[in-house]
Amino acid sequence: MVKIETTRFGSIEIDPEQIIEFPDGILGFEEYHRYVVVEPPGHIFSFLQSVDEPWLSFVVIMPELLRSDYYVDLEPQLVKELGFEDPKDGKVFAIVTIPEDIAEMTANLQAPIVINLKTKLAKQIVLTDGAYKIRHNVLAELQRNGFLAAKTASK
Amino acid sequence: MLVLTRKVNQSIMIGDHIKIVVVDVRGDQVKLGIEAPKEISVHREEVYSEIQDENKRAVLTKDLDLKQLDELLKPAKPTEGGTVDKGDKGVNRL
Repeated sequence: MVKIETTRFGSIEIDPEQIIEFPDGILGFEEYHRYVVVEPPGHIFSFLQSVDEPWLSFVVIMPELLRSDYYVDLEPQLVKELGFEDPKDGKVFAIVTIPEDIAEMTANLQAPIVINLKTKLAKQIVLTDGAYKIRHNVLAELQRNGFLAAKTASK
Repeated sequence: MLVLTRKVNQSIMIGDHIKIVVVDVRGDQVKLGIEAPKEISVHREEVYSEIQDENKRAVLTKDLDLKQLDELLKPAKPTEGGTVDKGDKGVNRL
């Protein structure tokens, strides 16, 4: 185990085997390549935490929770880049943006994070078929998908 | 930056495999056709910068109160230990 510093969780211990490499970085943060996924038990949100920068941390969610029919096509280039041998090794997250009013938080379903859990390689891809947008209201989508009672979502 | 002048239906080649054709010019709008191998992704520049900006906004969420989130999402937790039925997505889909 190695210790890393994080702004959000303080000092945490991670298994170096769990470090995920983004060869291209994440859009807007191209110079940072190493992250870990922190999944607090019992939460629907996970965190993509930079191993190298304590402040660099994304809140992420499984897009299927927002759209049950969500999928990412494994294009040949993506298969090659992330070294996919089996689609079962894949994990997809959407980055969540949380403004001051957390009820207004949105998820980016157009540019999901795709991780190959076996090779530990990952990439933020951009979907171009127009089905998804950069900002989907998380509470509204959860509600539509039956994960949230209707009265809770409207403030 | 290399600047080339082209007329409608003329094209430029980038390397051996990428071809860009001027399809139409109307006023201040230029319609371009792009032929590129499937593994080359082609996007309007705005899409990339929008995503970069959104990612930067996402990182600003620093002092997120997990308890507050939990409170808001209490009924939202998947009931059976967080598993989601992914259904049949076919071989090449995630």
